[in-house]
Amino acid sequence: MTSCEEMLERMPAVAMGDAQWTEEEALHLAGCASCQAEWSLIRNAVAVGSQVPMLDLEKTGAAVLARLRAERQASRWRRAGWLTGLAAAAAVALVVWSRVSHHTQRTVPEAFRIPVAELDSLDNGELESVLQDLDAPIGAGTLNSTPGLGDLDDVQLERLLRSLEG
Amino acid sequence: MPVPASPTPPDDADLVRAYQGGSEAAATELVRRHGAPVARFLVGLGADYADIDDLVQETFFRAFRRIAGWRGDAGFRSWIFTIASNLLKDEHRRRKARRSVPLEDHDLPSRDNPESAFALRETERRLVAALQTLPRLQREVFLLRAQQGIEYPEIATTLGTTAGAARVHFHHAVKRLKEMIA
Amino acid sequence: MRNFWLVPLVFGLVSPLAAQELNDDPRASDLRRQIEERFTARVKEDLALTDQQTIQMKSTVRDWFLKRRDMEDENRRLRDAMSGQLRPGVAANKDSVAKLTDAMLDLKVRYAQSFKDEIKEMSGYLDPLQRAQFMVLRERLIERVREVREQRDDSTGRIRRRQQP
Repeated sequence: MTSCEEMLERMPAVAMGDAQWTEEEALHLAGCASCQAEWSLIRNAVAVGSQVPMLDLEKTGAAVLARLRAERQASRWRRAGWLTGLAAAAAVALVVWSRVSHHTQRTVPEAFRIPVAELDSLDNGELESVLQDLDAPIGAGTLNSTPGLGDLDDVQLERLLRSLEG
Repeated sequence: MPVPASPTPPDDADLVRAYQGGSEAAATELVRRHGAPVARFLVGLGADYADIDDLVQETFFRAFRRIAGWRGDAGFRSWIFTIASNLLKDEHRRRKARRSVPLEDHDLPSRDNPESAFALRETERRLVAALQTLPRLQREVFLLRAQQGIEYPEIATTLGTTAGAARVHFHHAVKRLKEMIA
Repeated sequence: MRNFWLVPLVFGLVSPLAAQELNDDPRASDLRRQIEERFTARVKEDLALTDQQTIQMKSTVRDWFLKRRDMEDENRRLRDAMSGQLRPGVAANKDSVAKLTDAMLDLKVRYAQSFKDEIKEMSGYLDPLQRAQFMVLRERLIERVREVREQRDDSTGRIRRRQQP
């Protein structure tokens, strides 16, 4: 004989349409006021929110992804530092990977020119902007005077070299 | 001639892994699968209909940010429900702090938008109101079991209790709600 | 005019973005060439490359550029296949999704490793400081490219140029 407690445990599945009452259970429900009250409660619980305004989940998903990208970008700007810990190659690689998942038709030029795949998707204005910034006089650059590396102390430099050597 | 078996669809763990591998399509699919149940859970917890869109979005945003935190011991949907619940609690606290009302364990829903209450049928509205008077754990156990159909072991893992305790909480909740609503 | 070389290094993991098409405008080609020539000249100057080192570096960067281009094509195919599996209304296949995920993760690791291997290959003819310098210079250029990209005004396509000091 089905007990009220057993009936209660079956109610969520039946209310959600995942199960059906057995004949015995249906008879019990028909004759038990307490179970009828609980059955009404459980059916209302399943119904709560079922009339929630139709969510555009595609739009929600797109918005979530856009926010995640924006947050990652903001996080990168806050994090300025030298090549310690993380291998420089891997850091550069993952930066490039994020941008270069497109097909490039370019071939490697005959004259020595280091190809930068990142540039492929920039529009003309953006390319001009990058070119404008490459304005350091060619003769001014030497190993020791290049901003940055010269600022590293011996310990930092050693760490950097170890991370590069792998 | 034997009928070829239908291909098994990817489960949540597959999709999470695919997202971690870089697939944004996997993330979109997870939102598609779980967005509506999350919305209903939030309504059951007392969220205003007017806020549901934002709350669902914020829930998934927080989830994907800390996706590594889902270890698969509880179902992905249950894990998302926990995030949604904590988010709503934070939101209620924030609004209460603005109104300078002392914090209480029973997090009452915002009354800022009275029209939203009428989006629910009367019986549902009374149930949601009654749920707000329960302790948080009882309220959540009730919704996870009755509204979402989740079994006790998973509820236990999700809420940090035992299956036996979850069952007791559910029965107590039913008893109290019956008394309030009858 | 802001000096590009003072842009601080910023690192971080990023997720792949939607596939972008090559800008094959002739003017763009010319601009890319100029940027790469300036960058290369800077590398040669700062690293004080000998003619022999230049020849060897040319071979290294060419080989790894081509290898990475193949990986980028492969990644694009994998992402397209994954999107195909997860389209609304399509019965996605668990095994296929798992295989695609494994492949994407493996490829991500291989791609990152390729930069490290490229630098290691340069150890045959560059000293450690030269290799470090090359890494720093390339990272800064890529960072500037990303900064410009992020400054793009999506609604108009115009670039919001950085404020000049």
